[in-house]
Amino acid sequence: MSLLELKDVNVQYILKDKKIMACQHIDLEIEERDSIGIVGESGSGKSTLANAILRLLPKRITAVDGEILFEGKDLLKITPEELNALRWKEISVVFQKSMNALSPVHKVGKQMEDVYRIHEPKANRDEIRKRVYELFKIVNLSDRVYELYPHELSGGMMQRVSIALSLLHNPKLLVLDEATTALDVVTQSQILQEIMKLEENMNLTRIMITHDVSVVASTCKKIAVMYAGCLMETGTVQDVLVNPKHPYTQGLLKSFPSFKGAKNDLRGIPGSLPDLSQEIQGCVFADRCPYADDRCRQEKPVLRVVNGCWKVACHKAGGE
Amino acid sequence: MKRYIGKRALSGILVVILSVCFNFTLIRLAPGDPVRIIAGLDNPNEQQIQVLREKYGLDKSIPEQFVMFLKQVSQGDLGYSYVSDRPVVDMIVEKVGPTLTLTLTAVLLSVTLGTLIGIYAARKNGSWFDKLVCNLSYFFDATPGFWLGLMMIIVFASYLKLLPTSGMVSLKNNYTGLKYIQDVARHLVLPISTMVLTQTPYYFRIARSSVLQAMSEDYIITFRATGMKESRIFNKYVLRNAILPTVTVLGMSLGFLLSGSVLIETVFAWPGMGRMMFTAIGKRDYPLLTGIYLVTSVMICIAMILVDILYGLIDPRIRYD
Amino acid sequence: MKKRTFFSQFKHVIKTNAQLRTGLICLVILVTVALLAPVLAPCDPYKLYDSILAKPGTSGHILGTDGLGRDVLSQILYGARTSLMIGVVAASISGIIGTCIGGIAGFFGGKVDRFVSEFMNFFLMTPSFFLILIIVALFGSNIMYIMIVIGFTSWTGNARLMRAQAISLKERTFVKSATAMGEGKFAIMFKHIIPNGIFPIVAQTTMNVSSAILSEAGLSFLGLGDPNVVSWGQMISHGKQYMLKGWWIAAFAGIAVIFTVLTFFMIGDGMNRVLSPKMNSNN
Repeated sequence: MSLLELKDVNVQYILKDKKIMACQHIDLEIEERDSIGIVGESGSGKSTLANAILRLLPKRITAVDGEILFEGKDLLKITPEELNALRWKEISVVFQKSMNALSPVHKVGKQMEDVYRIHEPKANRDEIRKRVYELFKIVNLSDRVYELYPHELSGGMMQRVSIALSLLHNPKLLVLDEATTALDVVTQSQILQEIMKLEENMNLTRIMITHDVSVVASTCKKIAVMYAGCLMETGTVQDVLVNPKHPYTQGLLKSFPSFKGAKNDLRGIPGSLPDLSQEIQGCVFADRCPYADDRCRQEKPVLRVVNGCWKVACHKAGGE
Repeated sequence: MKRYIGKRALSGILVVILSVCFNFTLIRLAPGDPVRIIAGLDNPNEQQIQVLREKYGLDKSIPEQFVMFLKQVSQGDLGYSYVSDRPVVDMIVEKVGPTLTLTLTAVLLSVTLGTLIGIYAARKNGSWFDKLVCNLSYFFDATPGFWLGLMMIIVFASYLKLLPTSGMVSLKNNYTGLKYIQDVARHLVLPISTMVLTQTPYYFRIARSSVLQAMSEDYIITFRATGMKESRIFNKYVLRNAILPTVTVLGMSLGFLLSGSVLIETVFAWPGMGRMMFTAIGKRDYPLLTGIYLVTSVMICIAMILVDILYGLIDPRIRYD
Repeated sequence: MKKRTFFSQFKHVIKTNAQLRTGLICLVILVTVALLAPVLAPCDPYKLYDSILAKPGTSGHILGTDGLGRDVLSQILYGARTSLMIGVVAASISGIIGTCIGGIAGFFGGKVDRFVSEFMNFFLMTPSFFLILIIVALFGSNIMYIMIVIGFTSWTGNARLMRAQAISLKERTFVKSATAMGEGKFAIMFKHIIPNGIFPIVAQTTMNVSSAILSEAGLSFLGLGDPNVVSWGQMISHGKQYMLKGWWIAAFAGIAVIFTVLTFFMIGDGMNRVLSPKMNSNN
């Protein structure tokens, strides 16, 4: 059984005069101790998907359907109490805007203490402090941060605090939503190394949401490529990044400098994201795809298995 | 911290001096000769006027008068009233009590009430209760306090004969002790209700919008993601962050309130400073006028400094430098 | 996105913003009443009729007469002129002063800013209504004085808003490029900073019309209004003397004040909602 399994997940933002399809028909399986990078340009729905998994989207303006199975339990159906028991203990998350991730008028340590007590109500202060110092060490923060207020920390330090906070209860699944993007390269790789070590020691499964393919290439086992709310291609990093089948993946890779050092052929993909408030008949990428034909514009491609867990949603790719 | 308070106090004193200086000059530049008013209508002769002028130092230039005034003030003396010939300090001390009783009770009540309703409305954002109190707050915010007071007198005092119409104590009975307090409380009901009704909307709207603001902050999502109970998120984190703007406006509204009390005091014939000031203006009683102005400025200044310190204590982002 | 004309944009805003719509309708009513007061008023507001303290609806006076026999309804209709004029002029004065001072403080920054901020603090700490009272009482209760004094004592809120606007605008590229092209500081302020940052001040000024009307009513209530014009505050003041025998004198004048103040509240608040859609979604 997979740790997390998404079955036909759809997310809609319901606005006054229109509905926006932020995620459409997402099917994804994440095995235990996997690390998967979800990549795509801004607005592709990757953050929305992460928030949908955690049921953090504002209820009034969003609609989520499909199944999100975590260890066999559908996260969309369990009661709020069951969900709260699961949150942070099993699944935790590091958010994008970590500068505002904690309350500005409470000390960092106090807030972490508070979060620790959610699942360990009887824990005493020293025990918590010990645990927090341990985590601070992992993310390379000094102990005195415990007594500081968020505004006294730099952006990078707050980011590390957020990561430490997310590891507080040894979660099974960690979602990093652009969590290291704001850090400098050295710190970023340092922290990712630490997290990867934790994965080996503590059975941590990681979902990494980023637009930086090179980070995924160097730290993840698997990759899922999203575009306009749809999953385009998914598989192991070796398969997908070395020999991309989907024209979008190919374009995305060309728009990044090669991580192997070759600097030639750096290109963007012409065009921009389609209007997601309109129903799109065919492939969402058809308008920008160099290979698109009539079939692509009329019929929506489904994810087809290329090889093992390697799947691609394209009429043109993987003919075998 | 000590340095900060010292600095605030110093700048406060400066503001008070400047403010009083401005007021002092303004009053003395105004048309209308107080000496002629003091001397009365019975056509005084020039010699009498000259004597009075010298007695009150009005024959000197305005800067000289101001220096004299400052000297007096530094000795705790605010001069003598032209009209009643009593020490201004005594007159003010008599009236400070009633004014503060009225305004402070009203402020405390409206801040508490407004904040509580605001928090509750924000929590039930979009409900019928929220909509109702929002509209009510609009209405009472637009209502002039003195008019509302008048209407209250007409309804509760004249027609229903439930409460006394004016003043602070019943003149017929000479109550003492507990009876006295009860009597004052009965007289307080209408003026306080009027002030609370017209001021609560202000604090209500600030509380409501800052709670809504705090609830939409990123850290709320963080806490939600950790599985923290909504009630704990609200009681510990939302409220603590949302209370800051209320404290800020509290300091700023006090000045407005103290000086605005003149209207309520007039409606309810409340024996406070506002009414005394109003009479002093009519009679060109310069020392009394300046004295009241000075005392009010000092009170506002103290209130603002206190609020600043309080704010510094509850918001760690404020640094004392 | 298509570029919409000002008119169609205006229509869209009116359609979606109920507060602004109601406010503007009320404003049209008010302005019409003020302009057409001589036509609409059934009686001369200054004339003393024989029927003193006539109850509403009796002897041809729809809202009754006051203690001197003046028609209450006609006084209220004429009073709209006074209130609107004082409100709009006083708020405009405070808007202009606030914009200039706040703009200078925010745009020039440094010492100028510090000086202006201290100056604003000073104004915040003065008991403003006392000040208005003293000035009007001692210098004469001419309607001009009243408007100017109210305007000069209420500009701090505008200045603070404009200062914040100027501080954020001066970091924007178009202002920086204007500086790079060698435009003078004052030219930049009046050509770029103020026009681009004025809208919140306009909304605030609309709200200030309300508080100016309330201040004037308060002054008139204390008997410091201009005796040569009809004003709602003076009617309430007059009504206080006849509290027991003629409740209608003060009651209707007060309702007129509330209606007018609410009108400007709604317009101002509506404008603020147009400015920050976030606030709109919260409500």
